[in-house]
Amino acid sequence: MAFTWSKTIYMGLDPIFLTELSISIIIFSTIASSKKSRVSKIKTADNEIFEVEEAVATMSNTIKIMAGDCSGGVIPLNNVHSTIFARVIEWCKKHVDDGEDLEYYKGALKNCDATFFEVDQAVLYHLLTTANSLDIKPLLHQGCQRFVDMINGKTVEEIRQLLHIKNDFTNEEEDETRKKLWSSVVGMNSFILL
Amino acid sequence: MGQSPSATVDRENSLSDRFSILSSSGFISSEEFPDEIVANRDYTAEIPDECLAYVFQFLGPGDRNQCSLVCKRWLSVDGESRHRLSLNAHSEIVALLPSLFTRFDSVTKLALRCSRKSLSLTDDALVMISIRCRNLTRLKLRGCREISDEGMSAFAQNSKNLRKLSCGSCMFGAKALNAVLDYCWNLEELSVKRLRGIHDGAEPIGPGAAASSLKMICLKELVNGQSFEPLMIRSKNLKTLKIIHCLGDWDRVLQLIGNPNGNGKEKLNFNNNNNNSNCGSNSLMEIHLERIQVSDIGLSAISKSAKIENLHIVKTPECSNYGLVCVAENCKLLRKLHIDGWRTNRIGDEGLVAVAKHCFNLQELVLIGVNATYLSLAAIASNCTKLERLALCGSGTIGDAEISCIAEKCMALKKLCIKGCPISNISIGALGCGCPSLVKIKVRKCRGVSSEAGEWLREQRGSMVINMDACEIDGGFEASVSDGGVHEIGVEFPQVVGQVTGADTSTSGNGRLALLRSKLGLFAGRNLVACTLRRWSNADDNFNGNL
Repeated sequence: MAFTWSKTIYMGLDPIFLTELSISIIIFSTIASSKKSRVSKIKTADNEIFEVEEAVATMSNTIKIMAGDCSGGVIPLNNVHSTIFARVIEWCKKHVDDGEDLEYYKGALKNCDATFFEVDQAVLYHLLTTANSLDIKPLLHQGCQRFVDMINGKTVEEIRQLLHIKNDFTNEEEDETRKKLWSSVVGMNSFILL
Repeated sequence: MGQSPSATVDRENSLSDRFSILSSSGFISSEEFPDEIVANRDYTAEIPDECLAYVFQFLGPGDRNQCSLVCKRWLSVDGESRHRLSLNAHSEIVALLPSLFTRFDSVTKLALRCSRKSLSLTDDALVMISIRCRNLTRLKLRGCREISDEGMSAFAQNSKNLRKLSCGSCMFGAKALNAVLDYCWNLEELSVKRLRGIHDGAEPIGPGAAASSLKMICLKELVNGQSFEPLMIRSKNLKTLKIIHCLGDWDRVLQLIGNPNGNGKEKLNFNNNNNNSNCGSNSLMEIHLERIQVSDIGLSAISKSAKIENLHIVKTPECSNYGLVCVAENCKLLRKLHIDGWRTNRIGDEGLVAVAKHCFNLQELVLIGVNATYLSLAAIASNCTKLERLALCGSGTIGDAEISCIAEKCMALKKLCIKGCPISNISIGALGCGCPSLVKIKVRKCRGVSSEAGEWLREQRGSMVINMDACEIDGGFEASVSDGGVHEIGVEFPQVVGQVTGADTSTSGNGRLALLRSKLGLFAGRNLVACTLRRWSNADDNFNGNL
């Protein structure tokens, strides 16, 4: 306060007016900074604690709900590992202001998020699973889109090889599924052996 | 979740390479993903089923079918999450139905299509389907000629959740539909096309238990569509009514809909001041009348539905300016108006001036074969300030003066289509300097417009989408101007009478139209309206004779 006083006398302006003004400025900036500094504390499965801005953390609906229950304490995520969580938070920070439109995220995958998703399969699936359990729809959407891009246009055998999936059908089962059942379904005609 | 020793080099994901890079940067520690080091493994096994199902939703049917064959787990996830299924409903698939619906156990939307060459599913099969698909909300039947009234009735009893029913080219009739309306009390949409059983002696249809839930009725190519009168009148929450190419007179039914307390015998109401006193609790918002016998009496009756937002009056030569004036004066909420005057000259400036005077909410206007001039178009351009989409087709009176005044006055216009009108480059010039909100423009078959004008326009208004090819085959252009959900006038024709010569019935709507156009080479110089006018007059003779 003393500081303010001396300044106003120096400037030759009405000191009372300026005091009131500076008080309001102090009050507002306190409010503003307290809003900014609201962080969520999140503990991952491997006991690492992350301090994340609330706006970023609550992009996850799961965290949002848990924050309501924990009211200021540490939010425990028992099935998310810190390395994946760090990645997820990195993504969330980038998109905190981007809103809910999933079409936008589809487009963003082609541009700014392309490198984020250039990861190997293990990481991609962990991202998908985490996005699902943390309920971050746009991230899940992009992850699925990336997955789809991988398998788009591939045959059954190519998909199995790419994703290292074992074919557990017997020949008869595969035959029945492919030929008999599919001949009756419209849109599956490319597989009929007539 | 097998670990498959993969012999092939996986080019896409050389996991070991990436892993070594990542672990050296310390990003992913080896104790986190211990199995990585061993071999390539199936990570998708760790994605929860719901996640995998979500991925499948992104896939087109071809890719989805591929995925369903990858392994047993993917097959079951695909099956559980497949809600929409379309079957070739010929009689041979009966044996497969049990296993089909074991695999696809969550189907809510089902289409059963049978071609004319095959024998269709029988009643028993339909009933079996209804037992297996307890949550069916939508059913589409096409050409299932072996299904009878009894079969539909049994089906309906098992399908309490049905919301939409669309049946075309089947043999059952009024009894079947009444059963559906009695048992499926959640029914919201009913679409009936060419049902042979709705003949002249058919019993009345409706209202049934579904009367309060029904929101849309669409009748196409019926001999005795009037048998739906009780349903149309007593469905209190009906929002959309479409009557397309159905025989008989429709004025009476429209009068009864407009005035449920009347007796349907009112004369033409020359004094419209007491309209509101007759207005029942009518919730209709959208009405399509196409190729039916309806006159100004019917239009006047429609005008009593004051909440109408979307009105199509297509090829109804008995409707004149008078009827349009009635509608305009009473339906202030009108947003979309499509008029195909069929060049009969009965609807023109007088009616449109009334629209300009009363319908300030108009957003979309399509005029085909309507001789509008500067008089009405200037009025519409000035008064309908929300007009965003405009199509003017096949009119000999729309010229440079008309387009110029549109360019000058239509501030909100976003999409414009001009086809087969005697405009010249002057119009293009005017449009280049006017219509500040214009985003998309299409000019077709306007002989007076040269390609240089198109070039000039591209330079003037770089951000606009400009489509000015004179000679391309083009189907359903009205639909491209208007927003979604509009009945595609241009595409409807070839489907109506299969026996009309030259019609190719195997391809889809747009393909058929293109084929028709190429076959009708001698019409190449004329516009769409003229050539289809010819087809319709031929079709008329055929249609009556082929019942």
